[in-house]
Amino acid sequence: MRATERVHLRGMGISCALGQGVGVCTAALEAGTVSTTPLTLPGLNEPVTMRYYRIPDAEPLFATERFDHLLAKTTREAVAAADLSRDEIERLPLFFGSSCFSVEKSETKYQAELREGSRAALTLPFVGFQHTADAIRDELGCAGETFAFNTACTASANALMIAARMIRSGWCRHALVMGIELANQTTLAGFTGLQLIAETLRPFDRRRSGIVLGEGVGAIVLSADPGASGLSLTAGASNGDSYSVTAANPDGSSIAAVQSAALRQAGLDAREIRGIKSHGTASPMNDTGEAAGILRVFPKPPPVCALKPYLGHTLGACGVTELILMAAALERGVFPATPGFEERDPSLDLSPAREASEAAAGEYLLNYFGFGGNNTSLLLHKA
Amino acid sequence: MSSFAVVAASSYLHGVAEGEVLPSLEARLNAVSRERFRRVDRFILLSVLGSAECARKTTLREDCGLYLSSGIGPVGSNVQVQEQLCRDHVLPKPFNFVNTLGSAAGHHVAKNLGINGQNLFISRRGGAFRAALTVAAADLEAGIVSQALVGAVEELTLPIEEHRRRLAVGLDVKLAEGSHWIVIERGASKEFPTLTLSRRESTLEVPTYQPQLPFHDSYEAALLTHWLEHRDTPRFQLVAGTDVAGWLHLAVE
Repeated sequence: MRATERVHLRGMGISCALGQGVGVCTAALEAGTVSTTPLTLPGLNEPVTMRYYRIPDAEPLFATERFDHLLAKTTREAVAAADLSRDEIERLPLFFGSSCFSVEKSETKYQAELREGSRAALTLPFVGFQHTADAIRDELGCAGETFAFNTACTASANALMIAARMIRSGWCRHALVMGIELANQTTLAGFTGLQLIAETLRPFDRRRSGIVLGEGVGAIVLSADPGASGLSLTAGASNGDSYSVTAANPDGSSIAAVQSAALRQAGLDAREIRGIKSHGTASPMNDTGEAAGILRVFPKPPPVCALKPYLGHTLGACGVTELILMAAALERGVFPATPGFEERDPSLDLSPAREASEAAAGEYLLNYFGFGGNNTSLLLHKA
Repeated sequence: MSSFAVVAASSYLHGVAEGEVLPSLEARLNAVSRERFRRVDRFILLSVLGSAECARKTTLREDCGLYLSSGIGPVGSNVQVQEQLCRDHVLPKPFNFVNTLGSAAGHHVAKNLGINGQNLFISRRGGAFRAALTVAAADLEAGIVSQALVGAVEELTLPIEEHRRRLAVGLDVKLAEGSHWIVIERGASKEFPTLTLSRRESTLEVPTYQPQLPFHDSYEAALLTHWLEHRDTPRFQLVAGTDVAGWLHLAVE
């Protein structure tokens, strides 16, 4: 396979605030569903409440088994849709990204030991990221190699980018790529402490005031062989911006650079891009930087959307979860609307689409940015 | 089979016995960096120290890719955040929380070295460095980057008894913290050691290099960089993987 060849999306599975399953989530997205629930963080001296995009299931939010159930269900959906042979499943390498991995299991175990008054209560009993990989491999019965990416909100976008490159290089023929971000106290409390949480997600809106967190699990089987969808990854680029540990340069320079690098890899001109899925976190500084970066590369931008108003900011999982929602919508010929955007911000000069529109065949740009100044842009092709 | 020139290498490895404290990194850091690091954790300091010691042995190119790997990641900050949250019932301190993410270390490494290319954090228990090398090799072969800075960093937290429990390692093993780095470029060169990577589904070969080093989760990186610094055998070889995935043969000579 040549370095510039497309890598196909052969199977997808998703669980997010829109529901469980690609069909359910796509229908909810097209219906414009936005549903958050109130959440109170347990166990803190000062009560902390927030709105949260939770996966609509029946299990308690912080139940340990819930993590395994959601991982298993989503993975099975993607692998079944990919229609791989038993031998291909057994050899599947796993590329996954998250910002929390299985930290919820560590929290639960440590808290239980503290409650029991154990003098040997151990913080972080499940160290590293391998527990998550092993849970997925056990579920599928696969024994391929694992690559865990922990680059904050670009983690699973980077997993997608690298998995596609490994397929192009001939290192593997198929790969399972996952984004995982499930409710845990560390993330919820951490973002509260950073004072980045808002009540409503309003990407690029004049009144935007911050993010609303969400949970999601997404799984994609990438393949050198075409699937039924006609969707494929064309290219992907990533860079690092040392402006700040929590944001890219608001002048948009590094964001423009990463988008340009993705276009260059694909041999595309900016005018060939049919639409842009922005990162669109709705935090004041991030949207400023992203708008500036888009306008540097696209003086007359194609339609822009932001998907976080549907599923919340799923952090390390958003690379995969948002690509799945975008791909599924494009497959149905829909370029999604951006709920929450109502008032244009004159300082940004960028307005995401308020109404859904028809999606033409061609190339779509997907942006992801994370803490550490980590920027990633992917190119998704609709046949 | 892919061949790469190892144009620079460095190794920091420090074994810690029961009852000992961790050494200060300040003097070594001051020797390689003018930055004064605030609100960072030991994982970040180890990452900056090791990468800077390696980078000063060569010239990093503008498109140099950064591949930072770790088997267990920034343990110290994660422990602090969990103590604040679960034991003390307060919100985590913002910088403690941000430092729990692998990309925080990558950010400080890139900032210190003045590089702004691809910046990845890759993990695999017991094989993080191998995973990062595999990715870096594919990127070099595809021309995504022309040079790769590949590192493995493992933090050790005290009390060491708790660290042993987290790693499930017995008292017979001396534990260490470490920061091990190489800079590789595509193609072989007589001037530098040549690293070859290949995947074969063949029988295992016995490793040729087994010095007794204190242990951390990226032991392969410790072995490789130790050999590159000492060259006390003609060849370094590593064979690792699974029957299903295929064995990765890594050799440097």
